[in-house]
Amino acid sequence: MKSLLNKKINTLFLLAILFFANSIAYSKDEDIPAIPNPPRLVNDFANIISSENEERLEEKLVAYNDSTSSQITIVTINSLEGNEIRDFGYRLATKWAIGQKGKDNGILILVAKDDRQISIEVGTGLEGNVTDYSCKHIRDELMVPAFKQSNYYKGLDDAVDRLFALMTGSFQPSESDYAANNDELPTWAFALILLIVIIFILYASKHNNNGGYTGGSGGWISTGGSSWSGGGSSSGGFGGFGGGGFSGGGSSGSW
Amino acid sequence: MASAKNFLKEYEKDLIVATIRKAELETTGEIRVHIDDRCDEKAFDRAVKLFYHLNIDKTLFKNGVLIYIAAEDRKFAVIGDEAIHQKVDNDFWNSITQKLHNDFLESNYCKGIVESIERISEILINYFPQTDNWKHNELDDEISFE
Repeated sequence: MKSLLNKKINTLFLLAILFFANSIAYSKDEDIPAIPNPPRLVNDFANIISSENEERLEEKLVAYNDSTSSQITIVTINSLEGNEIRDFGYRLATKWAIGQKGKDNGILILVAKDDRQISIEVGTGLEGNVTDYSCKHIRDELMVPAFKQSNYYKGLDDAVDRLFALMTGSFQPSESDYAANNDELPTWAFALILLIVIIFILYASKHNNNGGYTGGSGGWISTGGSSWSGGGSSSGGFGGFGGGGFSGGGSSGSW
Repeated sequence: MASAKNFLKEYEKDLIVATIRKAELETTGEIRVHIDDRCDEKAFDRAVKLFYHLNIDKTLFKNGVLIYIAAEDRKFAVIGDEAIHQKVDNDFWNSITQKLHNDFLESNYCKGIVESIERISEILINYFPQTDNWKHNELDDEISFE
């Protein structure tokens, strides 16, 4: 009798945990915008590029998606509303299931206008071609300068071109690309910078903060790219909510 | 007696899968067919459980559809997720099951399923058009068995 009671209490406790965990899981993604229907690759929620340029970018991304199956998605938002951009980007990429399922070959370029932050999230399937360091270069050298002049289209367009080139292998990052336009920089200095950056990235990822690389006086902050486990079905894990909550429709019969 | 195994011939299964694939080229909606031998509860209830079990509830746009059949018990159900149900009314679902009922009575199992998929896909294509830029196939197109 006592063990039965214990079992009941245990079950109740477990249910309470499941319920609590679920409510956290759900409330956490409410701030992520819903994926538009029909879906698009350029989602300018912050209205920072003209509709004409938006179409131009969309066409370019669609053409690229057609030829390679890798998928680049651009999302601009007004405000992160207190979220960390990498966390937000990761959750958005997961929620929207960017990239092909099982291949993790999606890239999300996320721009938070009012926060003046950029994040490039790279699916694990592409990390061999598009490294964190390449992303940082794209943000700092291609996007931030254009964004500072409010030329968002140019920044995004250049970033997309570079990402395509990296993914197809037609652009090989070289030392000079990282050497801040200084051709004279000796190799040891480059190695030192690389080491510092690696330590910095390790430190930043360990402390799970934004990294806080400031792109100059304009205050555009670039954050590191990170990977997400793609695929639409990666979420959840609690399974079996039972039939109670079904909010769809249907009909049944027999013959 | 019909069982899940011999309910459809091989070429009929292929035809059904091909119909699903064709539809899903034009819609982000997802259609699945599941066939059991027996079903000792209401077909609708079993379908709802399978809906979660087969992850049909996990589609991005909440637009998955399950056609469920219990071959030996001669029961079936067609259910669709909430985003579809917001666009159609019960008459739509009833019209599908009415059609399945009529076809199944005459042992036209494949015809009933294929034409039902086609009707459902008309709705899906209308409300959830596929765009060139979003080529996910979120769920398996193959017919599943218990």
